[in-house]
Amino acid sequence: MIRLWDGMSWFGQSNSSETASCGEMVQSGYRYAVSLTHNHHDAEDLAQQAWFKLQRNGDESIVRGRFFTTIRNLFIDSIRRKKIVEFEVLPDDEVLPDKSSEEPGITGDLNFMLGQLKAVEREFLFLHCAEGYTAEEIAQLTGRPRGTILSSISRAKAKLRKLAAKETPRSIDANKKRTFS
Amino acid sequence: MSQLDEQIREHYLQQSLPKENLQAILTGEELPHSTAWLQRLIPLAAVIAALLVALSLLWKPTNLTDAVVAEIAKNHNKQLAMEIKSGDYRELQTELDRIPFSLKLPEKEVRSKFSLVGGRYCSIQTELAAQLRLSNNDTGVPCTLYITRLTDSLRQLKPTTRTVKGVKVKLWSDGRRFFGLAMP
Repeated sequence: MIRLWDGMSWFGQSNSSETASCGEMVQSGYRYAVSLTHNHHDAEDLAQQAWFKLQRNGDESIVRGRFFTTIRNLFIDSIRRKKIVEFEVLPDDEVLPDKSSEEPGITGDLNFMLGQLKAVEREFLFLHCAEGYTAEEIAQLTGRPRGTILSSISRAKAKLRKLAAKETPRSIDANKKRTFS
Repeated sequence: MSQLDEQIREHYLQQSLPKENLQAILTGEELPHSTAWLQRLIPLAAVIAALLVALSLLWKPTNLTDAVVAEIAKNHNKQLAMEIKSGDYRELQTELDRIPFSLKLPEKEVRSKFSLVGGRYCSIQTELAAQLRLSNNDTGVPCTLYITRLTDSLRQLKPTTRTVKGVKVKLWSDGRRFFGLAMP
């Protein structure tokens, strides 16, 4: 059984541990929404709408995977309404070798650099890096082929490194200026 | 997990809802800046719009009746000269060759009470019409009969008789043509 559907909390119970687990799930959903929208207000709205929608549907239990899927569907609906084509299906190209485990981190404004990625790339990075899901689990959640997930994650990391490389000289120059002034 | 993975993880874990906003979601309250309430109003707005459209459709015939009656009364009062003077509708039909419908006088009641004097082109609600001058057989008082094609909008009008500016106007149709008879 995959972990996506393991997380579960119950409504209609008011004890503090359940409230805490609900809160934790809403926070996770919010972070997931941040990865999709790259905007705090939009993310908050998405998380709230998804939570209310599941409540209105009379779900006695809200499963983490279902919550994430609802957020994702609401996000897709919203970009369709706005006629934004950013959330496009990525090509099913070959799986790129992920050498990132051997590579160092990056310097610079990570939030800015994540904003330069496509929503779907941020989504995969979030699910993989922040939530710890495997490519197989992400494939089940998003309905994309596992190979696409892996190549997208590799491509997104490569983009981040490229952006960081561009930003680094400026950062160093700025630091030098500060040092000598 | 690489350093970059760790950086991404840390970045997203730092993102969290403020306590009060989280509590608002858990307790089912609206967020201050939320647009969700606006989205819930969309169906209501759609219902109101549909009602307004329905009302406008319902009101249209009444307004159209007023407009047609007023137009006929006004034209009657102008007493414009006839382009064709003839007591034979076939002759009028031939002369007014742009008229695409029959100019034969309707109903025995009209035919028995009035005599045809002449006719000319005119329009009712922008639709090409024939304006026929009639004369009351008993009194000799001139009356005006308007005939036009029964359009979709005119089809909505119910037969009625109204008096406007001293002119009695009777409206009716025979399924193909629309009639308006103006009498002093």
